[in-house]
Amino acid sequence: MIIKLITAFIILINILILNQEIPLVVSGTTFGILLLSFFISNKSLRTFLKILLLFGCMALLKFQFKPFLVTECAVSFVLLLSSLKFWELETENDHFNMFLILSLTECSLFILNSTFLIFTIGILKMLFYFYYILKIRNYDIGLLSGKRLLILITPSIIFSFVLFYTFPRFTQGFLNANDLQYMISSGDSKMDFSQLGPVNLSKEQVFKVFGLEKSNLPFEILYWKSSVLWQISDEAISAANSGLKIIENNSSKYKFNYNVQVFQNMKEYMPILDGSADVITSVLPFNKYTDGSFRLKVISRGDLSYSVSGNYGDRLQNFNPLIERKALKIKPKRIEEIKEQFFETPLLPEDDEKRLAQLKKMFVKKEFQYSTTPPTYSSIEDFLLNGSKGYCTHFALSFAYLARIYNIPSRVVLGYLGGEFNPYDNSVIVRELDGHAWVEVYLKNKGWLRVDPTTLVVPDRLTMAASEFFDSREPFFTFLNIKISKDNFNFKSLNNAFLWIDSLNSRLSGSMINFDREKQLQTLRSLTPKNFPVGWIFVTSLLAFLGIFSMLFYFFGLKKLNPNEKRYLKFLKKIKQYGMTKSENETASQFVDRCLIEIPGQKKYLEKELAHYLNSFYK
Amino acid sequence: MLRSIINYFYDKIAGSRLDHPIYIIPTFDGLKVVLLNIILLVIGLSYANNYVLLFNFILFCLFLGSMFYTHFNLSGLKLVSITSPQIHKGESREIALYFSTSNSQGHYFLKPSFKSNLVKIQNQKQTYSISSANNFSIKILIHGEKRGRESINKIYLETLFPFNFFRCFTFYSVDLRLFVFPEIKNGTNFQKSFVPDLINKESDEFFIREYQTGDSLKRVDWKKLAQTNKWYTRQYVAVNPEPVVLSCDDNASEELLSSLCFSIHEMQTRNIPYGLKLGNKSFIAPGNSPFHLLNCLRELASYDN
Repeated sequence: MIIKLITAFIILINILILNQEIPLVVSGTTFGILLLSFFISNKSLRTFLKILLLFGCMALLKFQFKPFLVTECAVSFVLLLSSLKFWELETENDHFNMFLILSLTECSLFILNSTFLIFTIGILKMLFYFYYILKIRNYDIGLLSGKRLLILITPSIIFSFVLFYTFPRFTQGFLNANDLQYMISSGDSKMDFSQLGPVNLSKEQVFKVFGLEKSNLPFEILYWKSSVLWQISDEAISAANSGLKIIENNSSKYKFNYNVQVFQNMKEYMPILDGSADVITSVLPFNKYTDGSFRLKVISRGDLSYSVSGNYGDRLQNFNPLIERKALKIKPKRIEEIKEQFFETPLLPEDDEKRLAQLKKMFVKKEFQYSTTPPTYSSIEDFLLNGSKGYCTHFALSFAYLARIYNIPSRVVLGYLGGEFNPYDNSVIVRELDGHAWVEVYLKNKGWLRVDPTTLVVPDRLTMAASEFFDSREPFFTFLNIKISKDNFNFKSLNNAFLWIDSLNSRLSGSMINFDREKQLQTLRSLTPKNFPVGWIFVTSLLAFLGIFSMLFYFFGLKKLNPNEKRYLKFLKKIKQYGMTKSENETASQFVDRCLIEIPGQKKYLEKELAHYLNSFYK
Repeated sequence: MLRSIINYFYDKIAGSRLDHPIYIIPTFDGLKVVLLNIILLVIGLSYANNYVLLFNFILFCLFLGSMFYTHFNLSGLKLVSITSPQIHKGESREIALYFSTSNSQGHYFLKPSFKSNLVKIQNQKQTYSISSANNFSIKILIHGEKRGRESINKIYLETLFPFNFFRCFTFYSVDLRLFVFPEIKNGTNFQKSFVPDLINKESDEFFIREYQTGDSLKRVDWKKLAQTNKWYTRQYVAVNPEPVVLSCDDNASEELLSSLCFSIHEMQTRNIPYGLKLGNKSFIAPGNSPFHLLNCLRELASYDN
């Protein structure tokens, strides 16, 4: 019974950890199946329900996930499977199979939450579970304790690290788990962004915009397109459509320069890049997390530069007629109404800077209100004409829309604004909460300029930390229609603890999660002779592991001899040099008698050793 | 099918001329772990996720470590002797296996077995440990299933310790002649013939003979000594029952053999000399001693109709 409870506990922890990564319906179903198993004891009913639930789960996965969301679907499947397997935990074999399924679930956790703490907790969880499986196998677990457990576990753990660091990283990965979080967390916008071209975060909209609903396009590319909010070339789309991977041309590497200035609240606009795979170098130390956030380590005033590869030219300061056409593209349906409401003077200034200033002034005058829970708008025009409440995305899209009407080339950029400074390791944590949308406009003499329409509506968004800002907007918790002021709770000490854990996590994760091929080569080259293949280093490590393990067991099993036994063995060894070997059938006295005949020269020594032997063992 | 393949390899390996070589193969659970390792490796490489890779290597190293440990658990163990049990059909008896070891850490969760058509090991899942604490011996409980005689040449010893990922086993060469005697059951009548033994006719009385040096003083006839002033010794004569020969023809049934076995034991207890005649094949002259009993029982066990 205890092991069943432990199993249930582990599954529950997995549900909680994966809750942010997979759809709520999957987590809920897993929990429901787990709970149901406690109430149904009838065996045939259990079997019937189990089969039914299995089909139900398959249908759920089928309808919940698009074909390209392989990772998400697989993780959900393993989680659901673990709860279904829970129904038949009777024999030790069932528990062992459960251990294998839970190992796969742990693997999902490591993919979706690549942090050291999750990893450590996962390993401890699995070792603990395995320990209990050994217990139900009628093993006297006491026999495995202490020295025996130490001699088995310690070298295994040490060598697993050796093998891990020497295992050749011949691949940079074929799949990207970053798609998961990003798709789910940002897929709830209802606005029709197609008016501005490829401006969307909704997964359905993204596919619709690109006309790729039925395509088997690798998701990384869509992620890239949607996040940078700018078009990729038609060639790239057709290449992706035909199932080919875009060939990265090294010559098209482009260096981004974003000036990072650390202010009191760590405010800086940081456009989302396209996952760590595309970031080749960065001047400042940079950790990317799978939940969409990233971390700049030891931040200081200065340039943050990324070198990225791929067809990113359109994002940069380059400006050509094609880009201009795209940046001015608009599908106005109710343009006259908009103009009537937003344009005080029909004649716009010639100078684009003045036009921009006029637009900003007009935008402020409109008195939009910031709200994290705005009503649903069917389009940007609907928002501009009928709404006033919105958040950064609404403002950015509307501003870009109006700018295009004002004949100012504009584009929306999605990224992060600010972050939280962590004093424990001098880093800035950028979270999903810090997600932001702003606009870049093109001015003839200045190039692309950043404009943040949200700050025109609520200047606090720039000066306050994101959490502080959102707290100021919503100072109450709502629980069963009861409003509880957030001031009643002091989260400061708790937050400090989280920051400390985060810094610890970051320190421990840094050397592990970012240990890629480049770092491996760098490390191993410094430890081994030049040009020694990594594969050979791995094989040598494996052989060393096997050799050391066998030696360890050899010495571990050696009997401890007392001095008399040692002396006797030494005596036999010395006599062997004269060609005399003691037979198993003869006693020590008989052997010495035989030796006295063969080697009379050693008479004194032989008699002395025999006397000692007899005294030691027979008196 | 699978059973016959296993038996084929069992016979093949058991027939090895090597001196108790140690074999080690992964169990089904071990193969599952190998499969899990492969899956984790593929996932780790596909996602370029170092934590998955490290988790994979930890599992892999524990797997390899358990291989060494399982082998270590069986190495250095030698079978010194084995007791030959006297067992009747339907009875349970213990066989003791005595070992010597050169491994200071002892040996745990050992499962001995042997191939036999006549006896069955009870509690087949039971495992035993050998360490200095229990005098290096294992006692296995066996149950007589079928009457007969067979020769056991190999004792199989296996261990799955510590994680059940590997099965490590060895064979010890022995020369164990196993007899399963008939069931002790009184039922069918059989032929009894009494053999008159005139020479050793004995009575309750005693006769007097001259005292000889060494005779017990208790048996000295003091009355006669007083009368004649000569030493005489009283020689008591015990009454011995007449020897019986138990016999059956060439086609004796198992029930008849069981009855014979019952009678043999009864006569042994009552000190009646008995002989055994099994058809025309064998005849054991009447007698009454533990060795005689064993001979008769073995003859019954070996009886082939």
